[in-house]
Amino acid sequence: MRTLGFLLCFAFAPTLHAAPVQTPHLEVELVSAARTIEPGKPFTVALRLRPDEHWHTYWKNPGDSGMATAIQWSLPAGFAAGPIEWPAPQRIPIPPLANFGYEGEVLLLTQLRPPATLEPGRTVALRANAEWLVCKDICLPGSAALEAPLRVASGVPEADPHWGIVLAEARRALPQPLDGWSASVSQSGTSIAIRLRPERETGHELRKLVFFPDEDGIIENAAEQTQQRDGDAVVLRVKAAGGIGSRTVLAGLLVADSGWGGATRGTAVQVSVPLVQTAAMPSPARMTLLVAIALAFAGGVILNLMPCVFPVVSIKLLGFVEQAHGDQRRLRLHGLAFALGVLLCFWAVAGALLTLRSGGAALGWGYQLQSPLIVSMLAALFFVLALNLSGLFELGTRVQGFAGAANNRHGYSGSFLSGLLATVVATPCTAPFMGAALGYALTQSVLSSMLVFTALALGMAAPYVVLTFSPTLVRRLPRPGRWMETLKQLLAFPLYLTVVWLLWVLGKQQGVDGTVRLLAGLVLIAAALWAYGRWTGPSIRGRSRMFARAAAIVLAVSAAIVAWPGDGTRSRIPEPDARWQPFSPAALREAQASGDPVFVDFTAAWCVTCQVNKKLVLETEPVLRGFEQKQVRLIRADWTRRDADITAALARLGRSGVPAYALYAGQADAAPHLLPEILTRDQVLGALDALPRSLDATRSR
Amino acid sequence: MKRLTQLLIAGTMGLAGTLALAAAAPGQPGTDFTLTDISGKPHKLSDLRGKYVVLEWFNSECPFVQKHYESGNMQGLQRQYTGKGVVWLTINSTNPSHSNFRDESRSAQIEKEWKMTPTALSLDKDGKVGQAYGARTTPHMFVIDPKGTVIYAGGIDDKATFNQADVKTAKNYVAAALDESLSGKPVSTASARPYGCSVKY
Repeated sequence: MRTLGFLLCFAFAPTLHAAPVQTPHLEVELVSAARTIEPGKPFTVALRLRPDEHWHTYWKNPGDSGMATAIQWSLPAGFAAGPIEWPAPQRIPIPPLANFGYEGEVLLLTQLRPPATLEPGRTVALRANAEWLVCKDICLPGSAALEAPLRVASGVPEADPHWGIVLAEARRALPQPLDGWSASVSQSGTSIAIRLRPERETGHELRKLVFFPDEDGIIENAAEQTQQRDGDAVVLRVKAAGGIGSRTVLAGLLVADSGWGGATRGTAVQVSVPLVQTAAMPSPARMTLLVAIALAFAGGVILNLMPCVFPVVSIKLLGFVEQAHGDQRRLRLHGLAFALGVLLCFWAVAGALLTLRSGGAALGWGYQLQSPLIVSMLAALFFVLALNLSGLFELGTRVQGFAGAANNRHGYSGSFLSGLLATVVATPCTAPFMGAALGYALTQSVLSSMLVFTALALGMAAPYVVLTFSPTLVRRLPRPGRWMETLKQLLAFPLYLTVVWLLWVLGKQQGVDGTVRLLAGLVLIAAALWAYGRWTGPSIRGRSRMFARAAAIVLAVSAAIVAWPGDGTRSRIPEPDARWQPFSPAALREAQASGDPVFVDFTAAWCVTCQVNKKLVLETEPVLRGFEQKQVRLIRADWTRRDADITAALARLGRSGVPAYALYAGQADAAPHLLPEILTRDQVLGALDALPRSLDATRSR
Repeated sequence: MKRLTQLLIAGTMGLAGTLALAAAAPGQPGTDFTLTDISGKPHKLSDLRGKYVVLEWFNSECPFVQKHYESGNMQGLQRQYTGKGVVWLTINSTNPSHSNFRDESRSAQIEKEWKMTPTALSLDKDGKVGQAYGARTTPHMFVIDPKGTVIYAGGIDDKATFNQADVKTAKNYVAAALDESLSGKPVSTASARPYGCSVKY
């Protein structure tokens, strides 16, 4: 306790000194490169810390413990002090931890600027209070008030014969901007790979690389950093720590014992490089089947919330309400029938996709909506469903009354069919996690692929199965009643909107003519269903009914003839948007070669998530302004129709469907930063913010 | 939705690889341990369910620890919160071969001299508990809620200095986490950089 009291007294009752100050285990001094200063001309001073042998002081990021040395200036009026210019630290291991600091003497340089109005001939006193922590096995805090008197002269400053040289050397050894090397950083799980590639053939070999992060908590400070050659590049692997969060830039110092060659003096360079996060979306090569299955299941659950699935889900929920208060066993069977429908449909779609791909077709997820025929058929299907909900016609016994529904033997096939339907409309929506999982699935064996698709289907069906198997949840559902009829009619409207969306998709594929043909076909379908509904029912005589049904069939067939789409590629309308350049491999290469950052929007008219992202994020004022400020080249890869180049580009990103968003940092070889499938403005702007510093690091010199 | 996404990401990352170094993170359950205090009484974390538990990493020879005891700050917190039913475990993970090591009888003397009032002061001689929690510094503070979940991990306050005067103006994260959680509010700062001397493992 006595030592403690002594230490604290010492630490907080300092006296003024112009000469080196002795404190326990450390000598400290304020030194200046020049004996005289010139008004208005910046000059360099340094805090010199010399601890006893094997004792150390700390860098700006002290690592796992410790404290950075701090200087508080009390300068004459008009003087301004810059920040401490930290020399490169050493790694000081204290297993299982590690610190960053300086064993032995260190000079902490600071630039001071005197006012231009300073009177020559005067002597000014520079005063500073320094605080530090000096440690070996134990730590001692220290502080001292220091002073350096300097004379003001009008001419060229007179260098200090000793410190002038020492400080100039210290300045030369300070960390410099990265020059002659391009750096890229990627993170996969807890492994961060810093890749350094020489910009010219120099033969210079980087030896004993160490990375020091600017901030604490970014890497496991004590974990071993391993260096590896990869062709002419060098890869340094460091271990990420929890504090890295969702950071988009890795900033710090790289120190190489060998130096950096070229014009770079000293051993340390500053880097600030965009961090390509591959942790949440593991790259296909690194992903295991188990992870893909887990991601696919999660993606399937989330799929239920996607805008293209919502109308069908509403209908299904209504169906459950109908049956909720009847027989529990029946309700469960309905849930299972729905799940089976989802599963079979996923298998069918995936099986077809895999078969076509094995035949060499360049297809990806959502491919079925690249066909105008399927889009037209879906539009007709939704239209029929909507007319049914609106009450234009009723089908068989199924909709005879809500009370009878639970006794309806055909109800199971209804649940099964809604499972099929939900999947058909869901497939164009790539939910979060699905992208990576499907990208993986399509590069694996058929068995693994089918397992991933199965997980996706089970994920999508899971909420309903859980609902029907939980008596507690079922009891929470409201009682059936007249409100259901109202709700049913109300639910027709999202379906009509879905039809509008599909018409728009068709418009993108086939132009106005194709759309109008489909619209005419829809009118004929409406007429057919009206005829069917009008003359159906117990009070209608047999002959009228037969006549009406014949008319309905004729109308339906003519609808199909009128609306049948022609060849999708004929009437192509290019997107009239000056900001976005259409995608081609050459366009992307050219844009990358320019050195500007490049943003590629992989999209399709039939992908609702893509359209939502476009309207709410990409084409909003702040994001467009952000693109403009960073001079980002914008490329839109429109996958509405089949396009082998785009399919290949997606495959290179480890994806097989849209949306996908790739931001290239403007370095020829840098891996792109993949943004999530559901975009937010902050994510895009954050990724853009991460750009400029990297450009300074690699391009400005 | 965002929260759900984060949970799923956390879940999949857990699948993808296991962390080699355990560090107690807010939101995760605190690793169970049993520590025998300097008077020989065992304390098992899982037996303390239903109570708030504070873990304080301690080394009497560290100036940052001394800052908080010389100023009376730490004793005040111990008195205040043990008075409210919080269990306060002060843990010294110093290796017996280190010069900072103080054995049970010397520790008892320090506890008395410094007027410390934790629920218990324990020596974690093999450093297992400290490493399980990723304790880096003295002090390094953890707050565990009645369900056994870590709700705060990090430094004691936001002034990473050894200056006693800063105690008065600093925002004390441990007190804030306990006050907020005791009054049913979410913890506004669940982690902060720990500062101090390294734990002498």
